[in-house]
Amino acid sequence: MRVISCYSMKGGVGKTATAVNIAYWAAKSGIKTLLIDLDPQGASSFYFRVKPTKKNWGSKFFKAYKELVQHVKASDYENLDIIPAHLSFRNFDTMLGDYNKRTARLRKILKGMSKEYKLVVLDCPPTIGYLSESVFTASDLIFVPVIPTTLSERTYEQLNQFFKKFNYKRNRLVPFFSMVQMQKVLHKRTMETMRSRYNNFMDTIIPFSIDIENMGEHRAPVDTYARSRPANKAYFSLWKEMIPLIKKS
Amino acid sequence: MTELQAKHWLLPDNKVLRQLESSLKTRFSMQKKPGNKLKYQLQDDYDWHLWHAGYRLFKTAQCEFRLESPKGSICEIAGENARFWWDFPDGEFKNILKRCIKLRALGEICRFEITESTIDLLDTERKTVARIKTTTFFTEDAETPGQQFLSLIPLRGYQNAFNKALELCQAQLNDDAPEPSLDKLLKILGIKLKEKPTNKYGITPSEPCEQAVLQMCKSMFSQACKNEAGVILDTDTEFLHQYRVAIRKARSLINLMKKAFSETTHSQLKTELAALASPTNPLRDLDVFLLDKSYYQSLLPENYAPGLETLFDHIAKERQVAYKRVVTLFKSRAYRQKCKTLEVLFSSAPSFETESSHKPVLTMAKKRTYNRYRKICVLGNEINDETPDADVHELRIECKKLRYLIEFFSELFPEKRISTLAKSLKTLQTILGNFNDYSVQKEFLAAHLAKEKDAEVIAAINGLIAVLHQKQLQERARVCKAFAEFSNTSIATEFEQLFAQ
Repeated sequence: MRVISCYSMKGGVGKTATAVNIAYWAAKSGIKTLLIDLDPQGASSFYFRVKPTKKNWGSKFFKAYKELVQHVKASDYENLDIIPAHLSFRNFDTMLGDYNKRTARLRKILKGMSKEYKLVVLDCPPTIGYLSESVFTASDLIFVPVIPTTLSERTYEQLNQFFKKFNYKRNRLVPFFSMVQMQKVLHKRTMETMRSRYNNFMDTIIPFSIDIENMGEHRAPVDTYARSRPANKAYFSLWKEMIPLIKKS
Repeated sequence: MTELQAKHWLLPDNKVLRQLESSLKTRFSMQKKPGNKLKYQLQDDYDWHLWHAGYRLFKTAQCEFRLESPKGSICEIAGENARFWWDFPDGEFKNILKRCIKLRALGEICRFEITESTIDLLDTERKTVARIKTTTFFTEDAETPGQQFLSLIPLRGYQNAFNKALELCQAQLNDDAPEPSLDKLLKILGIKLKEKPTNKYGITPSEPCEQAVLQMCKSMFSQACKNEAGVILDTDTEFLHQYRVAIRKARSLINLMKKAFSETTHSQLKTELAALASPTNPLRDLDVFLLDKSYYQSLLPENYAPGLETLFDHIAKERQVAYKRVVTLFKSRAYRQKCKTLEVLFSSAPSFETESSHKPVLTMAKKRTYNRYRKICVLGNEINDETPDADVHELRIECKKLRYLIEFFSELFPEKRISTLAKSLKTLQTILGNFNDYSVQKEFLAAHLAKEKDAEVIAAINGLIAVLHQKQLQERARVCKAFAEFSNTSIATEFEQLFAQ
């Protein structure tokens, strides 16, 4: 089993859209996949129309695999299950503050999932704290969507420094450009500078697209309603590019 | 968490389905997905090796192959004419085929058509919470009525919705049916399962020896004849191989138990069987050589490849000639008459012309086996690294006879102990067999050398002979150790306990 995550300190960069579409393509290629929505806003759960259980269970999330597995729900797609987000997830950081070995906790809990799943995709909230550190420890690869703007460039640099400072393996970070508007000079220039500075950017670029924005309306992966559109092709090619990286990790 | 299980019902007609739909509509929104009619072929080899190993292989009209097992299914795309394991792309699919069907070819067991349509049951968010699936089987001729199943499939995490739907289904439909399965479909199509081949002949320990041996020969001979059609169609090389194995077994049995027959009968049976098998020798030799193509290619350096390729072309042509001869033979009247004669001989009542013919078959089998074992011990102990090859060949032949004796009469002895003995003998036999195979291969190539004029081909043949000779020497060096292992005391005790009287 491999664990990958979609992470960025910055909000609105296309994390959830990536997590949803990548999980979809993984499942579609026959890989038993579990998407865990860690973001209390629950956007990826919303895209798959999965409602969380009513009861407040966030405090049990890190207790044991047995607790977690009770909240697994099937998506409408074969091979893809989901653990939907709950508003109580907003307290993760405080909770983890009380645990020993808090950063290894998520990894340990997820181990139990390897009986059923080949791939776990974590959709993370845009914060940096104990939860994100758990995610860094638990993930074999961390995919980071980056909008090619000055601010995003700065955020990515901060993330790298954070990894360096706390001894996380920087080779687990895999950035890719997201919400790109090729007609914008700034986007083009930032991409050039960043590619020359970091050699680990993925080749695939996710364009800024109305089709991706429309996911909220359709509440389904892009492939189901905009099959032949560039955005869909971009996610598919992103997935194709991820496969060898995930295998190698 | 207890996993929810899908429920299935036999669907009597579409009227019931419509009634069910309208009652489901009261609780759920529904989304219908009509299915296409898909044509499938169930494939397997002649012996149903895949089936017996728990696999089901389906081929679609688009040449998609799907191999299903309880663990899941694997898909592979291959050409229209893919029949052997080596016709498929590398991967798990190919490995499973190689392991199960070996040199056998895949063929059609039956054809059928399936329509699967689904109705998604949705909640207020329009999320699917359970599925209704209807599976309809059609046989190829449209006149046979298809059977229709309805399944209610749960989705993980939506137990309540499933229970509600289950209630509604149960109100409309009769008792649950087991899952729609292929085994059932085959029954509808009138296809009989092919049993796993056994090495049991239905003999009893006290049966008179002659009677038992005749019965066994009859079964071996009919086994041989079943392969004729496959040989004629040239489906795969195993048909001829199995044909020859069965005839060789019958011949060996008659020779090993010759005291059960008068001299005339024994020599008649022996000659008739030999006459049947020997015309197929050339074809088998050529088949064996061609099957080992990639092995031979691996033995020689790259620059010999063109010569080797030409050699294989020549042999393949020769093989076609030999094949046509066998077909002509199998179709000839003379051959059919020979077969008929043997059938009659094996089916006739025992004539009890000799003293041993009356004796219980168990007594005779024990005696023969134990004598053979002791003979092997004497022969084997005389072999050292300098002994001439002829003696090693003799040891091999004696071991083969012993193996046959153990296997032929295995049903008269405890199964587990016999299989352990057979296994230890097999280890020795493999080394002796390899040693012999190298001789045979060298002879085959040497005999072919006379027919070749092309310098490249001659070089390839000579190269192969040299490599095979070296391999044979290596194998020869392993014989003494292998025999020492076989002749250890625990095996000796086992032979004594099972066969000494």
